[in-house]
Amino acid sequence: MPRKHKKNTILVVDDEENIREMLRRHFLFINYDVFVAKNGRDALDLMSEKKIDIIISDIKMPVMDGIQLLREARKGFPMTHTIMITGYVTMDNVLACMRLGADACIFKPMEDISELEKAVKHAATHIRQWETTLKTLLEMKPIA
Amino acid sequence: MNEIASKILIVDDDLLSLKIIEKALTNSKHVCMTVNNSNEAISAAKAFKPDLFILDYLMPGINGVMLCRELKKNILFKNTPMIFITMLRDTEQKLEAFNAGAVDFISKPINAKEVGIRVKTHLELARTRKELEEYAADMENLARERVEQLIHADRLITLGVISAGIVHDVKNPATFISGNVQTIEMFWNTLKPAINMSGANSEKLRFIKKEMPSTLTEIMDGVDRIKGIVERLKAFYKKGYYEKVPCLLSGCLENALTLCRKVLKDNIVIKQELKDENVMVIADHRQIEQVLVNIFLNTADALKKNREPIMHIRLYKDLEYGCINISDNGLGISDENLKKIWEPFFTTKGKEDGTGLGLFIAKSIIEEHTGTIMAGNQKQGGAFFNICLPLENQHAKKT
Repeated sequence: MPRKHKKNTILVVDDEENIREMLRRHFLFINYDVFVAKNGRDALDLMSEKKIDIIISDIKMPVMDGIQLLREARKGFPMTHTIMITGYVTMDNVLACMRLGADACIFKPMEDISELEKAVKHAATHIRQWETTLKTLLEMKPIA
Repeated sequence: MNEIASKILIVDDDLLSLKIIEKALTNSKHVCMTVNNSNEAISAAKAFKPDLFILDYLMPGINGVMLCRELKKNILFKNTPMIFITMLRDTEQKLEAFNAGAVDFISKPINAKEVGIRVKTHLELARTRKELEEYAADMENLARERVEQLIHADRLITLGVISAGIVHDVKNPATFISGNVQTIEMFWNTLKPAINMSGANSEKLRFIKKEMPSTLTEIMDGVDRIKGIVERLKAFYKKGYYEKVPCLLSGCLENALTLCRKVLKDNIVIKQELKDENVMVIADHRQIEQVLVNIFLNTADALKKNREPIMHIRLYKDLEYGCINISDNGLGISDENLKKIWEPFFTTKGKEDGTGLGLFIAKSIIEEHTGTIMAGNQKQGGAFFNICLPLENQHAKKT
């Protein structure tokens, strides 16, 4: 019997409202729970209250930018996946994302949102595998 | 040095003096005219237009100084040297003559050699002065040219800065437009079966079901085109990477026409002559479509007031090139504008309608493809644009 999966949670971080709305609408429709934040600081505040599986974040934002958010998320929420989307296509940005362990770095304007969908799905699968492993461990009988 | 003989007008009531001076000066370098009374001197001067005057100081009626003053009022003689003949040693009178515009004196009795030398000197001085004035004028023109070049260069830099700004600003809107379109596609895939199941079947619903996919596709094409323009603008501040591959020229034409469908409207008759439908050129199809769209838009604009607007499109092969010729039956392009249309910021439309960048960008694109683009007027009236791009096999041979 197929188990009903708990929905994965996505946090969309971008200073442009239209981008947040577009992504929120799209991923809600394909069965994710979606939260939004307009900069890195707000994102971290939200993450301390809600469990976030995947972050989709822009790089250039006021108050706290995406790279800084990535750094903080690595430290405070190591299990959270991050996918960076950015209009600033520079070597520095891409290298920083790589070094800080982002799952992917996608450039704006996006050719096709399915590229982002795939990255999110990949992250969700990864999380689910670990959840399955943990669950299996909890169900295992203690060795006498 | 001076091949043209200098003209000298001599005014003296003393006929003997006139003869002596004339004889002293007449040679291959000088042409002399003599006038023996000051009344006729002015009209003679206007007709003869001398390069130098020799005026007697003492003359009945209008004397030398008065004559000199009168002549100097004429713009023709503003800088013409005037030499006085005088036997007066009176310094006062000499000063008066200098004030009136005299540059030198020849004293009586007249020494032929002295006359010759003084005339020669003053003619040379006058000539040098003229050359200096011409040189100054040339320098001014050069300065003006340089300023224009600097302004042009500055505009290009500004264009680069503006382009960078546009490229940046357009990215987000392009992103959420295409993202939202794909969301709508998903919504539609849910809605469509629901509509079908509901049994609702009005004419309007049938129309919607038929048109929805192409409507969405065309929005995406528009976004693609915007992205193409953005890519092209990047050229102004950094070298971009363009995908030049063999592409079907008629395909580019079709796409461009589709994109312009609404603007070209129903009243413009489009006649297509595709001599070689299978012409393959080496090009980045998006950029070529952008160029074609630009020309179509310009053509539509030119035909706005035309009662029976016709646009003629010809596709043909010409030696190593695949070419498209677009012509109209509008008013044509003025000779003055023919050179300017390719310049950045040149537009005949109002400031709101024309950025003036379209043809400038179009030319850059075509030249970057090692093709040619030109515009002109047809014999039968109307303007034409001609674009040629390197053919596929030719390019392969070259590389």
